[in-house]
Amino acid sequence: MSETDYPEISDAFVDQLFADMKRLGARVYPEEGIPMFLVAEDMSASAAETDGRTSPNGVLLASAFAQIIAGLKQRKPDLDAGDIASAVELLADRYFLAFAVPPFSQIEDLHPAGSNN
Amino acid sequence: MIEAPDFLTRAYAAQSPVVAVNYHNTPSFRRDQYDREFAAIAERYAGANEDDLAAYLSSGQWPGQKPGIVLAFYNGYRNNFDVVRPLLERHGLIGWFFAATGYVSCPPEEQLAFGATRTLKTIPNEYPDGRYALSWAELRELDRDHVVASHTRNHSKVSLSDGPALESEIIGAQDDFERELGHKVRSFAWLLGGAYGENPLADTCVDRAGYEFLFSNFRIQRLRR
Repeated sequence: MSETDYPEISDAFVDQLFADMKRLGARVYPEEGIPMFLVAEDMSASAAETDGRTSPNGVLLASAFAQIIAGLKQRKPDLDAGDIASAVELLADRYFLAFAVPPFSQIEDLHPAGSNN
Repeated sequence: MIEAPDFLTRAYAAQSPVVAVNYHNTPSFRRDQYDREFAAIAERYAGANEDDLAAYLSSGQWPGQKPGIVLAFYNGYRNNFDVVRPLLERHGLIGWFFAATGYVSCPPEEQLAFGATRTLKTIPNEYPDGRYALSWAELRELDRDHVVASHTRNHSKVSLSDGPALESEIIGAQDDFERELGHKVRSFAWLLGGAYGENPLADTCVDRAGYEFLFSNFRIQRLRR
């Protein structure tokens, strides 16, 4: 998945990205909690243990991130380090709470262990 | 160095990233805000310590039903202990307290001056006794149920080619923790977030200090030990 997979992104989507980044940039960083997504990298493992690993939730998140990057590049083709950092912050702000929700069939309140297959 | 978007996209797809929330000062006038945030977080995430993180990095699975989260508190502020610690414990969460050891060891009457030259912001007149940093006694208490981690010794930007300075900031900080806590700490975070593999001199110091986890701007790396 890369940003080139999103050839048509609306101006409204891009407008919203920049508006959200501006809003998030106005947070009081020294005093507020700032959600972030951190790449999980196990350098103690052999490549054979980690190569080919995929995560369903991670794939969704990667798709959302690629879309954000594609949107930003529509208006600013040469993203700098600050833009990438802002994009990750935006991704985390949008998704970090929703991201933790388990699959419907695995929500214990709805499907107590042993009640269903 | 900043990671390229394509690297991040591939990495997220390979393994769900670790969710972190980064805090610094936690003044009492924001107590209710932190309380609400921790309540929302605790509904969805479980507190995670370094063993939990190691399990996740090696297997892709968190040990419990809920995913783990790293609630990071940077620099070693006293208000982390006074304001945040009780809230975390009420919500069953675990804090990761990344302290700059020189700040903790600094005499209270010198802490404002120490912080002013090291981007350690303080809340004006928050503590009339002048102690704005965590004490070692507080860190020892946090070390029981939370994670105490290293955030350099002096919270100063040093040249990545300055070997003695790197040694002091990386290894010296670990020496301080070992002396004061009675054991080494397992996690280290750079001031400006460089990842392992970007600078051989820094990597050597990280290895010599014996850190297991390196936190940088966009990654958590579990190092080969």
